[in-house]
Amino acid sequence: MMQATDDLIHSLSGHAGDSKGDAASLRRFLLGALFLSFAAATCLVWIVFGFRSDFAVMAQAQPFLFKVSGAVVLAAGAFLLVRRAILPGSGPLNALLLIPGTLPFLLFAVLDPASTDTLSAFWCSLDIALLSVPAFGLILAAMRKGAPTSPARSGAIAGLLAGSVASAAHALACHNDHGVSVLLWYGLAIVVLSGVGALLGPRVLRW
Amino acid sequence: METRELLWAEAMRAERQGDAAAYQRLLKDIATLLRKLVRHRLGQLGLQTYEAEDLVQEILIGLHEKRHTWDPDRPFMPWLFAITRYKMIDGARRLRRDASRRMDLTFEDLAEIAEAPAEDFDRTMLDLEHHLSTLPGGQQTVVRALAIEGASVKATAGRLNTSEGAIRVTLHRALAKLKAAALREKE
Repeated sequence: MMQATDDLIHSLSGHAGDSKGDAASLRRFLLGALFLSFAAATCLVWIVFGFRSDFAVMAQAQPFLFKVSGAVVLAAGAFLLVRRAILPGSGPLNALLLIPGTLPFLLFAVLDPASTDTLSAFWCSLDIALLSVPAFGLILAAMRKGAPTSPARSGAIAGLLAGSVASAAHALACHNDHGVSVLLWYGLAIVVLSGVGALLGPRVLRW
Repeated sequence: METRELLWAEAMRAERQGDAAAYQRLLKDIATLLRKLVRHRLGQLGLQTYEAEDLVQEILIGLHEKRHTWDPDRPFMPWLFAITRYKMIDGARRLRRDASRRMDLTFEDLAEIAEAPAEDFDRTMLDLEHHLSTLPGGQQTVVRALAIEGASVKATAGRLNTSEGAIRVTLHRALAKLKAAALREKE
């Protein structure tokens, strides 16, 4: 048995020096996947829903800024976690990194608590889930190049990142300008996508 | 631990330069450490330690395939730890899966066992022996003669040079004792 291990070691050591890439190139690759995810989600918004007709006005108004800043900061936190998840021993998967991204959403909900039509925006969640599909695929594919050592948690983080990217893109088309409603339906979409990621992780990210 | 960290990180850097000898030494050292770790863990879990070498090989292959994910600016041991932990959990899950597959019962298995009374009988006999052995010598002889060998009270009394009444009393006491023991065991 130990002889077999020695043989294995001998054949493995013959491959010294020919590993593809390193940690730095992995990080670059992941960043590329993130930008591509944003681009894909934005294109999808444009094709499927179209940008809001009052785009120029909207882009300077409070609701849009809250939505976009929250989603982008959340995506940044999730991206840092994904990076840690695929490089073993590069730091804990600390959920505190996600807190900054939740603050704009919470602030928006506090500033605009009187939302009359909370339920009508339920479709927002479904739209975000749809928009997240390309991002989800790209992120998971990029993660497979690394070595995720806690697949369920890594998958959950991938879902969270895909959901955040989709939320940022969705804000370009979103008519849902009420604080509580945005918190509720964007939040629901992102939480559900994380759950889906947690289920997918052990299957997709195994190595 | 610290010299090991330095030595192994150095060997990992050498590997990237294509130094096969340094890499082979590193893998051998890691294998020695893993062997100790995995055997110990499998033993703790009550799993077969002959699976250990397989698991060691899986970890070695895993870290070989993912060696590019180690960042030379970071310590090597935490990286090795994370990989090893992942592969050990994965391996334990596979062993458990194998065990449950082997434990899986088909209807034929059940029928086969049910058709074979011999095994059941053996088991009853074992239990019987166990309980009998707790009785005092005289009571044991009487119960054996009457209940197991199937001799009559009269023949037993004749063989043991005592009255039929004494045999009945002894049997009665022995049965009471066995009954009490059986009740205790149920509780």
